[in-house]
Amino acid sequence: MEVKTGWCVSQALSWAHYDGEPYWIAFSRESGAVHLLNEAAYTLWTYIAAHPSSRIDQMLDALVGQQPESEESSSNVLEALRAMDRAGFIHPVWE
Amino acid sequence: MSRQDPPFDELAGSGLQLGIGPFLVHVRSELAAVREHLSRVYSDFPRTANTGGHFEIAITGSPGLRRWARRQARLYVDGTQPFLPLPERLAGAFFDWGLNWAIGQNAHHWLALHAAVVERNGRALVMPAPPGSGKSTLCAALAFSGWRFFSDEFALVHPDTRVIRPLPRPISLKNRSIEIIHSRHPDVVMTEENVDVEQQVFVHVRPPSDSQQRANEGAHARWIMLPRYQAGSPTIFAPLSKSECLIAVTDQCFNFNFLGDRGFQCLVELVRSADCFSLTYSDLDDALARLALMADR
Repeated sequence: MEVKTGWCVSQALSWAHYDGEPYWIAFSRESGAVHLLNEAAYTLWTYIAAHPSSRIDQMLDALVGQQPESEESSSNVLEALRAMDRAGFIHPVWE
Repeated sequence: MSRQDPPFDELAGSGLQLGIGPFLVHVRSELAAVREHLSRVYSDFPRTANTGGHFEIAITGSPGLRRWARRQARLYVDGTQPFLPLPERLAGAFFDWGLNWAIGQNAHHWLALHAAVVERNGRALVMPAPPGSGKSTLCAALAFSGWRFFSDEFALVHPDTRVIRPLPRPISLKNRSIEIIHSRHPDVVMTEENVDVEQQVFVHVRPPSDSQQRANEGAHARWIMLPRYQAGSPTIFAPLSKSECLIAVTDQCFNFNFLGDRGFQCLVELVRSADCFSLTYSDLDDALARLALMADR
């Protein structure tokens, strides 16, 4: 049986960004913690929040748009997912 | 102060109400060390014989055998005892340490940052930093060199308007900083040197009278500077990204969790509206001159 893994957001976050800077700052209203994340993480989180149970291939499309999928883009997505999973911002779901 | 100011002897009776920045603090103590401390470094502060206030602080001697041997002081804030007793010789400083605790725990009308703040030309310089960074030394030097002193401990930021409210209180100096400030400003009034429980020599310095008289005049943050004293270092001003600055500021915030998203948004905008940089220094004169140049531009 094929198990498809999707992702959902775990909690509401407030995001901040300053013009010209590569980072996004996420504030967890649940824990009160503040995290410094990259733009890929922000894009993924907002995508997952809008599309619960998103799969990685869907996120790749969202993140890299029409560009051909590459090893680097996949790795960026996975790294951003890991960072947000560790921070408790998202969690996997199994269909 | 007017002639009607009640004498500090009232501390041993019904107590005194001190106006300290935006707070009314009612304090009572029969201990001579507390009377000496307050009369020396709080003499410019408005005081009345009224009771009540935002905080009720009492410092008492210990009962039993401790009344005769190794005398101790006990601190009560609003009836609770947040700290273990200290040797009685620290009773005066205990008032300030207890007030720090009370403000950090309760002042949720404002966003409370662990930061020194001074103002010049209507613009505030905010210096968030952990203990040991040289923040208080730099703050004291600025406060007696043409900057208006707000606080060496707290930046009280209104969460909606982001106006910083002065909280001018005695400046705490330790070890070498005492001599540095005393040699530059021999007229400043300090408490006698004392040794805290970590064996650090410390004093409290009476804040400049001007800061006390203008304690109701707030200012917006124009600069956020992370100071660090480093022996032998040249004076280095290094730009800081706003993202990094925001993380540093949240690290030094006592209560933005308490205010939730409103607190976070306040910090985001506080940082957005300020120039952010770090200062590494060893030459105090050079650092002061450059900061004055920056503020007077």
